[in-house]
Amino acid sequence: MSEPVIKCENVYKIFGANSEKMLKEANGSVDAKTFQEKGCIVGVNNASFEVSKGEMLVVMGLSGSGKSTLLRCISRLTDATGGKIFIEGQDLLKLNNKELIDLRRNKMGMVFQSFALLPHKTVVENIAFPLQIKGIKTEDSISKAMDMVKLVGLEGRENYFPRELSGGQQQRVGIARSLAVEPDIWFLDEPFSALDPLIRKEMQDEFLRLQEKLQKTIMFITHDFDEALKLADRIAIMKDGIIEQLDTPANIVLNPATEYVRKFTEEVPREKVLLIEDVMDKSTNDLGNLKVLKDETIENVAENILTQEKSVAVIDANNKIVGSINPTKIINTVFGGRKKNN
Amino acid sequence: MELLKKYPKLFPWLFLLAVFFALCFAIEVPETYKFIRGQAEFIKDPNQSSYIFLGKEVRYYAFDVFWRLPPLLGWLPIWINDSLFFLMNEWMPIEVWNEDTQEFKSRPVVLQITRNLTAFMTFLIQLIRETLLGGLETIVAFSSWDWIDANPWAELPGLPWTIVAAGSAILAYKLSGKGLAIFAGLVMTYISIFGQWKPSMQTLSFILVAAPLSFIFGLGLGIAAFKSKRVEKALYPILLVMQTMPQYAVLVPALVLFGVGDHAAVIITMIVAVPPMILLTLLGLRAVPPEVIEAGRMSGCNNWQLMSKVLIPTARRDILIGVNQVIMVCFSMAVISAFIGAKGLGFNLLLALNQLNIGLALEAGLCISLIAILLDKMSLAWANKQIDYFGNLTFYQRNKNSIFFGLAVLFGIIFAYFGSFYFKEGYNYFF
Ligand SMILES: Nc1ncnc2c1ncn2[C@@H]1O[C@H](COP(=O)(O)OP(=O)(O)OP(=O)(O)O)[C@@H](O)[C@H]1O
Ligand SMILES: [Mg+2]
Repeated sequence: MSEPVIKCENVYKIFGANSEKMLKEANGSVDAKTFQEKGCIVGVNNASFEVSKGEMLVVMGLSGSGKSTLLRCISRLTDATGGKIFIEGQDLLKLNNKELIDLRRNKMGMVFQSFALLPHKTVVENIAFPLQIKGIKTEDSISKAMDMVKLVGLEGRENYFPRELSGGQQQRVGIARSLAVEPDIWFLDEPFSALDPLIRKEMQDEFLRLQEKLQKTIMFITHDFDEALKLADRIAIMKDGIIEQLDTPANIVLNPATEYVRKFTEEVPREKVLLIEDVMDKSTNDLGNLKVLKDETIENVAENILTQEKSVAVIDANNKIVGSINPTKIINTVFGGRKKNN
Repeated sequence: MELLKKYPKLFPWLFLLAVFFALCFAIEVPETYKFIRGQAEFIKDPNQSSYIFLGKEVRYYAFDVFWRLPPLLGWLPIWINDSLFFLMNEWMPIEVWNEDTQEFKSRPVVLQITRNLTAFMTFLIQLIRETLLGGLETIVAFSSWDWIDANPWAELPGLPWTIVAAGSAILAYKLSGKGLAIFAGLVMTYISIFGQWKPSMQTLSFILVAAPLSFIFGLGLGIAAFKSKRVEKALYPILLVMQTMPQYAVLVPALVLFGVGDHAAVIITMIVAVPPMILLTLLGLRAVPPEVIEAGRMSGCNNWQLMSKVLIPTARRDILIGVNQVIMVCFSMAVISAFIGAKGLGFNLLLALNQLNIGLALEAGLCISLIAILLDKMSLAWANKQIDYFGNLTFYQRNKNSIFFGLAVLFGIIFAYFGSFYFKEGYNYFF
């Protein structure tokens, strides 16, 4: 495996005066409550993880759990109080101003939770802004920006001002702006939460299509578990600044690391998360005629399996039988033994 | 000590108090201030006692030390006055090369600085004024009086009013549209018809120097205050004083430091107009949402780009109010500074006041308010202007207004120039 694109080692972010001193005194065991009593707010607490190239990491957690703060640390919009962050092997916290600007101009894009558009610029100017900052000629940057306008479906509104757009439209401008420089690393802070369900689904599909083509490294914040399942390669669940668990969707649902994660995932529809592979038996006796692919989600094939009497053969991409699954197992997974599963 | 630690503000207060009392006891009224001394003598009464401090007699009231305060503070202004004059006329003389007498002369440094500043301001004002009205001094500034005497043709002829009116109408049209263009044309015609052309142009040239300078200083200091807490803390008390200080009170020190004339008026105007500009800039920059700043940073802005492309445009509304304030203050100062010899409509107003000439006062007042409105609208329109990226224009099309404007100015100057030969001493009808 090549080097991870984003690598965090024991990252802390603590707001408040004397936070660095307090962090040192705490000696690695930061407790949000005791810190709060001393007037400090813990934003991110001991976050260590890696994101490899082309991977999409979705960060979830309740409001105020430190998701945005984590993203800000990794983009160095705030300096982390402690720990180390590496972007493509470079120590982010050691970069000087110029290197940091270069990194942001060429490698990073970010979509903000509250849009953060420049109010005095029109849609197309907003999108062209990072390009112009980079020093690209006005005509080129505007024509590139127009492509982006088309990509997010805002044709005909390119000369509107942000205040003349709805929230969802503004967010699409934000997305287009972050994509204009074709960044390798893409940070998205609740990018779709302002969109209506229809457009959200459209944007998600578009997003997946783009990702397939561009293979960016993505950190994506969302409150919507369905969205996370649809997009994520891995999911990180945060609580009070701590990353409680970071794993594939299936593992998070099947093997929650803590009680909090279990509660968090309780209402998640399993058939959407789990693949046949995750619940199949290894035995290959007594099979019916139906065959299902092992990487299908249960949701997609449940109906077919449930109409069968016998177990169903599970095959891999090469049409080789790798296991079996019977209807009762499906019923148990989806409706029954949530607790027993563990 | 414990107390000091608990209330850190206590220390400066105690310090101030100590300084205050030290001043009370240490300062003795000098012999020269007869009038004040007389006051002090007058107040002397049986309750007063005295002691010798550093060989001087210090009087104080045995019962209540505060009774000493009025006469002491009473002559402090004179003391300030004296030190200012000392600063101006005696402190730290330096050698300066004098062009006229071709020799080194010694001059106090403060005087030299203020004179240089004055010369610069005067040059700016004269440049604009003489483009509008005609005159010699701008050319003199680049050459010398001898040269002018040798070449009598070298004289800025001044623009005919028609050209100025047309020029401002075109400018207004380009900035905003038909409405403002018509207004600009009407204002200029009105001024010309009612015979207030010359003073109006004098006032205009004064404003065109004072307002941009105030704007630049205000914006710069506002940004500095936004970037550094220390600058802000240092500026704050000064701003408070400047904003509440009556404008007449500023006239006197400016008169001492910079002399009489338009340049002193410009400096006073700056003193009065800069504080609101600073405050409004600061206010606007503070109100920029942090996420917009972050978005700017993520777009790869360096500090300069962040300031010029993100912060200032986003804070534009407040900054524009600042510009409006600056222009308004400039016009009110244009009137007040007639007291220290500024030319223009303010001077006419002063005359009208002295002669109780209601007609003249009204006329001059109307001119001032018309020009003020025009400039305000134009500056607003300029700041709100949009760039059209999609029009695929040639160089000529893009710049045709400015080319036309430039040609008109040139044509006007030449026209007026020949006019001045033709009509010689008489009334120049081309002007
Ligand atoms: N500049 C700041 N100063 C002090 N505390 C802050 C600051 N920014 C964030 N915090 C605190 O850090 C914690 C995490 O905030 P953060 O914005 O990361 O939450 P979040 O997970 O993004 O929430 P949401 O889902 O609502 O966006 C919060 O308790 C917040 O109060
Ligand atoms: Mg957030």
